[in-house]
Amino acid sequence: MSVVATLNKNPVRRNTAQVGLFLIAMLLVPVVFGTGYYLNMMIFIAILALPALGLSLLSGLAGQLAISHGAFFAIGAYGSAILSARAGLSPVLSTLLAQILVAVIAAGIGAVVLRLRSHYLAIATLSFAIIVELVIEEWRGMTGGMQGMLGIPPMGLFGYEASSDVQFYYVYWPITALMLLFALNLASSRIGRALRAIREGEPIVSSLGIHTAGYKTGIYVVSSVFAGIGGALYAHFVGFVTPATGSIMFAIEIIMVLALGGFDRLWGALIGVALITLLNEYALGFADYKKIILGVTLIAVMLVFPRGLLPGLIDLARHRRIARAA
Amino acid sequence: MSSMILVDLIQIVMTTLTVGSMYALVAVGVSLIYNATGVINFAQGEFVMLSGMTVASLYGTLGWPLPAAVAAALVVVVLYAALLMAITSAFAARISLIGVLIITIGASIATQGAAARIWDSDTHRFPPFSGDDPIRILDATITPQALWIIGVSAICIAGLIWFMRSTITGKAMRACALDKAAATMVGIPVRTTILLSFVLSGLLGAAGGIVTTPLTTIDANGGMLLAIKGFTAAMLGGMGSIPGALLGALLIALVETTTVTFASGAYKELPTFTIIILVLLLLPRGLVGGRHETGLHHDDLTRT
Amino acid sequence: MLKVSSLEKRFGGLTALKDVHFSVTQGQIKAVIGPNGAGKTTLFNLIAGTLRPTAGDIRLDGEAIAGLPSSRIGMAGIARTFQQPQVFTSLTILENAMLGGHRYHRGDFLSCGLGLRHTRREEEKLRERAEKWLEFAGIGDIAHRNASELPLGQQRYVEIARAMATGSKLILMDEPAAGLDDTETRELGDMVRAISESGTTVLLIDHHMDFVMSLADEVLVLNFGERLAEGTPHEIQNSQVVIDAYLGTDDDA
Repeated sequence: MSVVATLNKNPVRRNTAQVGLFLIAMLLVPVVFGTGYYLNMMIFIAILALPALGLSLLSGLAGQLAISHGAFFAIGAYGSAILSARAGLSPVLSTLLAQILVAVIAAGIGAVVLRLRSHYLAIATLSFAIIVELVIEEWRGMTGGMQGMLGIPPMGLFGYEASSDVQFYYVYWPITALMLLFALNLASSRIGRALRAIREGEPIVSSLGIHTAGYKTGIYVVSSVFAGIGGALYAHFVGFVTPATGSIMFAIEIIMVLALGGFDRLWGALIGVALITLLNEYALGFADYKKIILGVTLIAVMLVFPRGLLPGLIDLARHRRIARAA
Repeated sequence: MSSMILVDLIQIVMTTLTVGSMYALVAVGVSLIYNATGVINFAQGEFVMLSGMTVASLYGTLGWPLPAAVAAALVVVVLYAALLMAITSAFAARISLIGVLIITIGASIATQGAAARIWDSDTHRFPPFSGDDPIRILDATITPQALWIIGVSAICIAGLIWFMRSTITGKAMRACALDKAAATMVGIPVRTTILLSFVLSGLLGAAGGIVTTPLTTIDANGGMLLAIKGFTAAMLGGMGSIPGALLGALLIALVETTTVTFASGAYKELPTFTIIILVLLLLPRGLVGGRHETGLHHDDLTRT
Repeated sequence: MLKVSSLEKRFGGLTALKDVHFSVTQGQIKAVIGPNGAGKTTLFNLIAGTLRPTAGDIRLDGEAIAGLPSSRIGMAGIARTFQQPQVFTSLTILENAMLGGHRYHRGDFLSCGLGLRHTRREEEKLRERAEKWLEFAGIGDIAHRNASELPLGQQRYVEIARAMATGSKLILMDEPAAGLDDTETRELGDMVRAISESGTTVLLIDHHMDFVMSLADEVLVLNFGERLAEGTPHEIQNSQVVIDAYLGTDDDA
């Protein structure tokens, strides 16, 4: 049996091999291209990939859309910021503890709104996002209100703190790669299979003795924790958080990432994040133009390629090839 | 002699009616489009924003006569509604409901960006129709503009209900909402009916923008929060039901007004959005019991 | 093993089932017949937990299951196939069958995401179990095709493999022979017998009289939501009440 066939039979090994190669390539980037401003952008890609992967798990496996990933990004960011800057915990510990908060809230929200279908989830999670934004703005004693929080310690452990872009790069990309591996494994596991089946016909899945509600809540929690970890990494990289950190516009940008990379592709989410980061850097300088470009692109992509730009282009190329062969 | 409680009570009732009228115009509009397409229109608030901004610049800044400015605003909104209808129903069969929802999100933020370019990001207003002198009822006060808001909203919504119940076209719209396939079979032009729903929905929003801007002001990004209030109200009442939307809007306005009166203005929005989550938990079909939720198959984001 | 007593289901003012009682013994093939609208599918929906009974009792090996959610009933050991085959078209045939054994494994989100060794072993077991039953259903050789590619008749075999992979004590089959030609019906009959020989009890609904009478150990006849008769195929074929009921209606039987 060829190596490829072996890897295909064991999805965990296949995923590990793919992500391993990817991580090696990413780690070689600074060695080959040296340091420079581009590293800063690459770090942001590593951070933003997390909420995008989280939402991709939700939309790809459960077929659902939530507008709460900005909110959980903010909860992760503020939670870890408060625990480290105000309570003096180590950033690694605060990042992890903040995820407990994220998970508990997500489980509560998920248990309520996942009983509903389709766009009700979108609207309900949007309401939740607004509440989070309001609480962050108004709970000045804890969050610093509109001014936000400054002086958040950089990521680090036992007195070793990341201080340069290169160091952050080498800390954050392995984390993102591991999270990607986790997502890929989950998607190809029996849980992923059950979720894809639930998306098609929940009553039939439950007739097989499977507790469907638990799976739906579970994937929402996992998906939200991805966003929460992203938020914490963000806070410990830039050193400050403001109410804009996890705004609704941010949540819409994450949806945009999936519209570009495909709603059911984890690797696509990564490409989508890279695209939007480049767009943000070079084309979307002014807030007003950014809104116009984001909005129009979102409409255009959904009209032409409802499953996302990247899968749409891949399908198109495949059809062309078949047409040419025929 | 009037007790403080009575004054508070009158004040709360008047404010609730004013704010509730505004929300009702948006919520009823949301319901109309939901009935026609099954989609919650995220860009509903942009109708209000566009009309408010148009009148503010034509009447307020350029000095056009008010009726001309109002007519221009209505034209702008009708064209915008038609455009929105075109992009949301162009390939509707191919796109999931969530896909269409994403399109309306895109339309909403693109419109905000465009409005900020055409005008600016500042707040705009224009003079009230009947001056600023408050009308006193005991010790409570109400501005004449609030009466305009309540009156115009009541007329618009009553007119709409009459239209839906008593005219052939209105009945066709209701038939379409119940069963598109059957409606097509009996010869109802479904696309025209959907277009009409968008236009009527837009006109309601436009009326709201025109009467409320003198009191509440408007800015390029102001539409989204209104839209969210609108679907919260529509969902509270029961998605797709017009009386439900009206009831939901008034309830939300009451909760908000009470919160502002007795607690702090800062937390004005908190109860509203807590309500929506509670409603979804306890009464997924709303107070009045709107239409059934549509099935999962059509809603899946990753299907083509 | 299955005991149904004074079962009743009303939809608003309409009584779909009234005072239905019967039992199924271990290893039996039992058929439910009756004219259209007799309440056969309603009966299945009540047993499987898709609907809640208005009154009455359903016991599986002594355990009361009436009114439990369908996932709990599935866990208790009842699987079903549907009148219109319900396969997951976005999954492969193998994956469809693997869902049958899903309930036996505990791998949670964390261990699946981490790809821990025990989840991989579970996956291997699931695959073996699924392959065994696909082989049984005669579709082992096309296990890697997408379920959407199959014609309706073969989708029924996917359903059977999936139901058998759940390892249930009792399998409910709602009109398994619907839409099959004579040869396919005969093959299906052999398969049902093989299911029964493997130790799984079968309760099935069907309209094909020949099919039912040659297959079933016992037959329950429903008419307008009431139990009309119960007995061996021979007894039923010679029962005057049954003949009257069938001749009295113009329904296809």
